[in-house]
Amino acid sequence: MEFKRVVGSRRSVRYFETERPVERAKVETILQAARLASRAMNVPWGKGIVAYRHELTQDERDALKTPWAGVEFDLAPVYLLWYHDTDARRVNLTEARYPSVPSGVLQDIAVYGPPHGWSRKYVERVILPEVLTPGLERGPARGGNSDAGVSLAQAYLAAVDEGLGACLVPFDEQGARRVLGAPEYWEPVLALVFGYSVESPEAGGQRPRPPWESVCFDGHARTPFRRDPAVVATLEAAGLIQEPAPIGWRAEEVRALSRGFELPGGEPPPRSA
Amino acid sequence: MEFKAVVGTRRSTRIWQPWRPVEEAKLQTILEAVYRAPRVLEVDFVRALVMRRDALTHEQLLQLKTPTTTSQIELCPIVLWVYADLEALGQAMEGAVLEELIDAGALNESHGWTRERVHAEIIPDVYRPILEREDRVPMQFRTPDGMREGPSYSRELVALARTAIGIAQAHALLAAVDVGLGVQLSAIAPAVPKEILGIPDSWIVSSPILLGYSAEQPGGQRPREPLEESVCEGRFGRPFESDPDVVERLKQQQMIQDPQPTAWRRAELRRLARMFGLPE
Repeated sequence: MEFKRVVGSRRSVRYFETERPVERAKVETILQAARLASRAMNVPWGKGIVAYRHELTQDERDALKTPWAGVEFDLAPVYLLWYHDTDARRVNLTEARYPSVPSGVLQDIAVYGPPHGWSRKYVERVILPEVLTPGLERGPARGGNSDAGVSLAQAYLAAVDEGLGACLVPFDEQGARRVLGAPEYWEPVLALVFGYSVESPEAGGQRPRPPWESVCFDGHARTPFRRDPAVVATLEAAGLIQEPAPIGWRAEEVRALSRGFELPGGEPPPRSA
Repeated sequence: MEFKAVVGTRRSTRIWQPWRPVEEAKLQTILEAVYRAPRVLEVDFVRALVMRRDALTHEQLLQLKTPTTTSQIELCPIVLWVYADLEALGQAMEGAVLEELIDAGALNESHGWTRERVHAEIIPDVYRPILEREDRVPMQFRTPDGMREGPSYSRELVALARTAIGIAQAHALLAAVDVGLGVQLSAIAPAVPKEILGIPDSWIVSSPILLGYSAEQPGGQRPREPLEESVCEGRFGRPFESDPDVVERLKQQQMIQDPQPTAWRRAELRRLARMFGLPE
């Protein structure tokens, strides 16, 4: 699918064809998209566990739930539990099993080069002491990692590109540790739950956002980026901007889906006499 | 461009055409992609800010340099900063965004979402604990007079905000590639931009995105460890084994491309160095 339409078609989908498996090739495509994401110092900060709903007991599924997300784990056939590996920098530095900055491979293959001052000597004298090693002595530290978010977002968009519905939800860390064995040095990011959607492609329309002027700025935090209506029109034509929620028939669609899955909220509206 | 080709074509560009401006329409397109990015726990964390190289003095440009970002800062015409406002969760405690999503049919009773539950459970049991956890991170800012300490926020809140930044960054990076620009997530000393751009103390930042028209050829895809090293299947410790047929299909679709090094890369770097007066 064309990139802009992927971005515009993405919604938080929460109703899935629960019993329909997702082809493993699609699962791998999603993972490869995450793997190819940009990351600082070529360190693999993002790590994941793919879990299949049908391989878990109800108790195990329940263990992953949070007050925010429960039914999603009952309906989605696949979960990608995504983590920030808090030990990734140390491993990258000390083991250097794969191409990394300290291994010198990235300079050898001219990813980094002399035009920016990079050489093996520069890595040893500047990058290692000033960038890669400070703070390592304190051990793995939590507090999130934006690069893990970058890779997760690429996975999400890849799921849309593969024709799947998906949603980002929090999961229970202790439950995931017990059920799936995630190590303590993996800090939870979010779970991408996905499968074939049973919602309409519109899924109720593009979700509301805060005013543009409070999000996008130009040159100063109090100067909004001027939004050109002609560009908006172009992006509407390209599918990046789509019909906003709520779409008139969404409530009826949700009621029908709720009835189909025997979930609350499926009662038909009272008919007028 | 097709999505998979966008993912596969993205590289960390480090040499741009410094003379070539980026059209406003392309900048807006990138921002529109950021604006449409998914939110973390439906909190409006993200703030995106365009910084233009030509609006800075040469002295300011030099102050932005770090060990990993050197001549890039003089070559790229645009720096896109993606911040997360840590005060956004406090604002979300009113519940207005969640109520709006309930009204929009995005959050539904089938999944436990009602206005009553938002105020009785979600805000007190999900949002408030994140806001008030005792494990806190003080904000610290470098100033000409030394380090200044700002407000502190819970570590969990900071982690969520960083995830939100990363998600928005991914949208920006890919959108920039889609409109034909070269991008790099880089490191810039944040003190000077904070002052120039009027950034509040509650906005945290990660690596800014340098962007412009690339002077480099795409070259090969950067090396990665095998998929099996990063993802498990079914349980931690069981590697997700890659299928060669899938890899072959993704090569055909340009998501997986020939790896670096390409035979001509060193000659290209030397030529670019001469073009821009950089070390060979």
